[in-house]
Amino acid sequence: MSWLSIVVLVAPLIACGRILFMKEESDADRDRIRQTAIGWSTVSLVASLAMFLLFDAGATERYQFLVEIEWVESIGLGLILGVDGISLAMVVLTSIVIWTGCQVSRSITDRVKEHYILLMALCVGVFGVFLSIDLFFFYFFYEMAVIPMYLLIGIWGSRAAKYSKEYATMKLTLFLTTGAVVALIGLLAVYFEAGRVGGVYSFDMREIAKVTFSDSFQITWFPVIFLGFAAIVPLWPLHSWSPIGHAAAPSSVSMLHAGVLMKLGAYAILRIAFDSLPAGAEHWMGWVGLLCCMNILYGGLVAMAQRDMKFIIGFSSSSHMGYVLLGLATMNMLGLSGAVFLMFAHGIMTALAFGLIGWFYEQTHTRVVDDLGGMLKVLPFAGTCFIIMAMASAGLPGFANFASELLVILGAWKSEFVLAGTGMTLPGWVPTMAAIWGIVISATYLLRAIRDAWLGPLNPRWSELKDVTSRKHKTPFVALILVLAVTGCFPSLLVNKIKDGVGKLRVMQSAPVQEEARR
Amino acid sequence: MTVGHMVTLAGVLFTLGIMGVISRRNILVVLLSVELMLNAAALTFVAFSNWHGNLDGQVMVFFAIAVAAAEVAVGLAVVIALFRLRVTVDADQVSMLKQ
Amino acid sequence: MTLFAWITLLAPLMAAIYLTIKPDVRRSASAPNIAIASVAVCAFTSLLFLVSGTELKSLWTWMSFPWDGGTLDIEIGVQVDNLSKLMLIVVGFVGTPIFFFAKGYMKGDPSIGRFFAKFALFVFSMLGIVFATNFLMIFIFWELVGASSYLLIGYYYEKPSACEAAKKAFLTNRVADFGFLLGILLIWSIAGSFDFDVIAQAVQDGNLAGESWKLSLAGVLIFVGAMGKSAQVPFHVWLPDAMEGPTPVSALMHAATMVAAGVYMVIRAFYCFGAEFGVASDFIVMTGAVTAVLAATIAVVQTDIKKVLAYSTLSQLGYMVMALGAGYYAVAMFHLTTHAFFKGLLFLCAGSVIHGCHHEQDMFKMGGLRKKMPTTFWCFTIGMLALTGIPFLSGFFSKDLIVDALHKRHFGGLQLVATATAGLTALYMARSWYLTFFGAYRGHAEPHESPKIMTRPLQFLAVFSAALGAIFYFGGGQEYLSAWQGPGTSPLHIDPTIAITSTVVVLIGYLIAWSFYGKGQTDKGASLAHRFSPVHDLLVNKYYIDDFYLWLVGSIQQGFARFCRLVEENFIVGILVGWPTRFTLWSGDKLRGLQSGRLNFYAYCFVGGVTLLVVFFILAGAQ
Repeated sequence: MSWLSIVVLVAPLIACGRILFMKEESDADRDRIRQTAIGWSTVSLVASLAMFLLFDAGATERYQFLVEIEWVESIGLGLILGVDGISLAMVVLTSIVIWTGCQVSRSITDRVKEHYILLMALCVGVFGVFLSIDLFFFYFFYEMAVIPMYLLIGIWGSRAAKYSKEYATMKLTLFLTTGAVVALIGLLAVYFEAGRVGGVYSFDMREIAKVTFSDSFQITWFPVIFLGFAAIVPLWPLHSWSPIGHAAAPSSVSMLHAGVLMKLGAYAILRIAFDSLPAGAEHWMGWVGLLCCMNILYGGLVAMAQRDMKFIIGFSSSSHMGYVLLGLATMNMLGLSGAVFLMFAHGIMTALAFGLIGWFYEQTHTRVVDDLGGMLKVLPFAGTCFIIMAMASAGLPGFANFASELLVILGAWKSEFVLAGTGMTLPGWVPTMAAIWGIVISATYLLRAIRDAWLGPLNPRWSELKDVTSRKHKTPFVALILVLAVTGCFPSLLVNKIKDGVGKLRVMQSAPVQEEARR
Repeated sequence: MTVGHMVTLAGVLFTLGIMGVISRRNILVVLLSVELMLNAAALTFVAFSNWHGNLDGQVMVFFAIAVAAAEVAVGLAVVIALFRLRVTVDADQVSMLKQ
Repeated sequence: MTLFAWITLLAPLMAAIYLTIKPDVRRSASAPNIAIASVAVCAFTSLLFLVSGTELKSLWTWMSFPWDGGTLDIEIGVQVDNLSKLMLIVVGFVGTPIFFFAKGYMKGDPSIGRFFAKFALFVFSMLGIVFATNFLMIFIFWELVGASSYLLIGYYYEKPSACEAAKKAFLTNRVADFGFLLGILLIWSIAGSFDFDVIAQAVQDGNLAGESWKLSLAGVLIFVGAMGKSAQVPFHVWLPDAMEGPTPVSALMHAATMVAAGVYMVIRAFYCFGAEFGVASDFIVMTGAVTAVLAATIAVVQTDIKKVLAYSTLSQLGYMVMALGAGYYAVAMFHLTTHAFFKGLLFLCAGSVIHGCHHEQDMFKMGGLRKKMPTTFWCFTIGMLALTGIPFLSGFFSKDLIVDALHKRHFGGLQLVATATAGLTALYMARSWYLTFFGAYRGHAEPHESPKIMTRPLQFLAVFSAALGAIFYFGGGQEYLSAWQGPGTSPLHIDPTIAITSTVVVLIGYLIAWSFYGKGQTDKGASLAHRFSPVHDLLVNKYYIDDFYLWLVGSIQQGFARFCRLVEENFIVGILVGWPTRFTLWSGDKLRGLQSGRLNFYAYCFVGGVTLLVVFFILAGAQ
């Protein structure tokens, strides 16, 4: 069944090529283009769900659905696709978000063809990152995802408060590529060192994972790779591109951006930095445990002072990604599984949020909560979805965000954060308290946003708004809520696969050994 | 005729080409000068090929000629497009890129 | 039986989901019936469990992880034992009449289906707490209770005050949950499990002997969680505001379920810990006492009939918490049970009055309703007498046992406080009774008695309010809960001295109320308020606690948030990102001069560069 991973990757590529040769002259043409994109993204979705169902969580081999295509043998370079528990969750997340994203971008009527070509190219990039087990292609697909993003925001975006969309997209691209270039230096260092130590020059992550690097090499190069990718997560204080990027992007792109693109960074840290440099991770992640508290608290507080709905969700994303970083910093089973699960949950949740905000923004042309008010009366469906989204985001049990944040908190509580270089240790309860307080803060700004925008007396300006009525339009929102609820009520479905992937990470493998060494 | 003569001739041709590229403003003349430089290089190849007694250098000349032909085709196309657009082939008149 | 337990838990959830996803059902007249049926299941199974003496525990693994060499299982389960059976009876038998009442009360509301969906969801969350087998499960449903109360309090979402009250309730509870979750984590790290039975076993085996201060700290933190839901000072502010919800919501949440959840959870938790807490228990008793007195004094000056009952609820919760602090958990549970019935009754009576007076809540615009609404009047009277602890009605037994418990634990001063609060209770209840039902009608629209669907539940609850105390006391209720007796305690008996003293105090309270409001007049009370206006102002403004919080949230927290935003916009964007950006732009601008756009110049530079390189390499090669 390993062809499934090719199907997932190639379906959007085919869509790209197909749309390239379609004409866009009438509304019917535009609809055909849309249908093509939705159709091929459905193929990806079905294939990834099939992968999800067929994935064997107890298998001995680490990667499943392997496909290997040799390319440049002499330097150990080839296209290797496959998934483990972690990337499986990410692939499923991506396919769901893209499937819904294609549907909510019905509102785009200007240059539909180009829009969908770029969107599909972006998909290929993102799927490629999650599926590649080869460092070179990992990086290749990563860059492939960034460029369409630049164009999508620059062309179809909207003004974000005082920043123009050009500013936003420029900033986003510069941050992402700079981060990637920094990480690339680290990746090349790992490649050459692996060749030097292990004797085989190969970009294959499985080969690299067999090599044991010296501690000093790991401690020197871990921060380079980590920081490169942490700018994408985004780690405080490298986050400033993200809320503006969210706010300026059109809704489908916001969905992909917040839902999937931000997860690339955390995924890369887990997959590359943790897997190849476990000792470096052990050495440095204590600091991340401290910095992510800033993410959680600071992001939440800034969100509290925002009035633009997309900025509120944007900063809340950077707050929530703080939990992901905290989960990574715990370096234990609960925290890491929680972090991956939270990446999934947060992806779905923000996709829902931006889809909904896009829905009313098209009609109101404002996202400032003070201008809104009482919209639940005229938009009962969208409002209910929004309240569900906010509740999920504020950590209501029954939704995946609660289960995953709970895991992160449990993991953090049992963990210790060694602040390398200072000789100090941060006890687990300090970040845990920040994390729990972060939940209080998130409830505050979300409830406030709900009250200001949706509840209260109806602002007469909006009495003409149209609710989501047709089944076609409701589908993406209902689907996202269902995914959140199902994985929230039955987290084992997903967590069993995630924990299999996490358990096979090198940091988890080596942990007992290092424990013994310490004793 | 020794190698020295031929290389000297090539050097002279090459210098002429450079002077043409630097000092002339007409793009057509500039292109001609570039061709001159290419041919100077080709001449050097032939000269050394002869001197070494093998054909490697002459093979390179064929490459160079092929590339030069392509280059001239593209270059002239650009010049024609430019002329249609701006009604000039003066290189100083087309400095919009600096903006 | 296990299946029955699961069905009981899930039936309200199913009803809620069904009502939410089926718009045509939601709008039809049968919407309330579906919700009522789902709660009636609970009443039925609770009786079934009680009669059959079922004890069971059924677990479902929610998540499981390899951990510390073994596995860590996070479980959801149902547990039926004497404590949860009693609580099930409370939820079922107070809840069902309230649902019936709500059907009448909400009749004609355009979104009645939405209301009942939320109502059923709330009952589901509450049942989850009742059935919980471990701390994480209780926390999960704890949060669900908070969220569903948010939805219910904010039911009239177009009213800004309702939205505000809903938000306040949710956030206050969230802040308290901060402590609760920390407490749970602390327990987990010392006992290695979340399960009540496992923790209790570990405590009994003395495995945690060395961790006693951590255990105490965990106890206090968990109690902080309970302070949120059970609205103890300083987390009490949300409860009176929560009266913005429809009256059946107030009756269900603030009598039988949500506020009781805190007390119930503390009993569950503290039973595990087994040991006495020392300082911690003093803290708990004091919290209860302060809440009881504070709320009772505020209740005296309220004008809104529901607010009086709300503060009365706070005050009674203070009693329960005092009993908890004294270590008499069974007594606290006893008061919880009786209180659920008579407070549910009183809220429903208030609802009936409000309904009859066309949604007027101000007691000063009522009066003389005794003749107009006889059934409501009699039910209210029974509820009031039971609440104030008139001998042999239910409140008498439970309240006196609490006073006795304080006496047994030598909290002499607090015993006085508790007795005096009983007098205050009589005072404010009688005041609202006189104002509402006696004298002349002071309102505008003509009041009318409520329909049968609303009065039948009143009569049902009235019977229980009157008799339940005696049934529980003489029927061996304390022995039934003997497993949850606090350490070193035994079932209490009515102490004649205490009973007589408190009865006298209560009668004095009635007398004072009668002398001021006896004929339904309002002038005497007003003149007294005028004479002691500073005190009156203090009470009307709820000791300025709400204003303090407003200031704290509005100025301090919001100020801090604005500060962070300033940092974001000026430091992070302005300096960290801005300076490199500006440097790049500046250097680009300076270097731009080189790009003249002149082809010859470029070619010149190119040739010059190559020449220089050639010269350099020749020179380098020559050396």
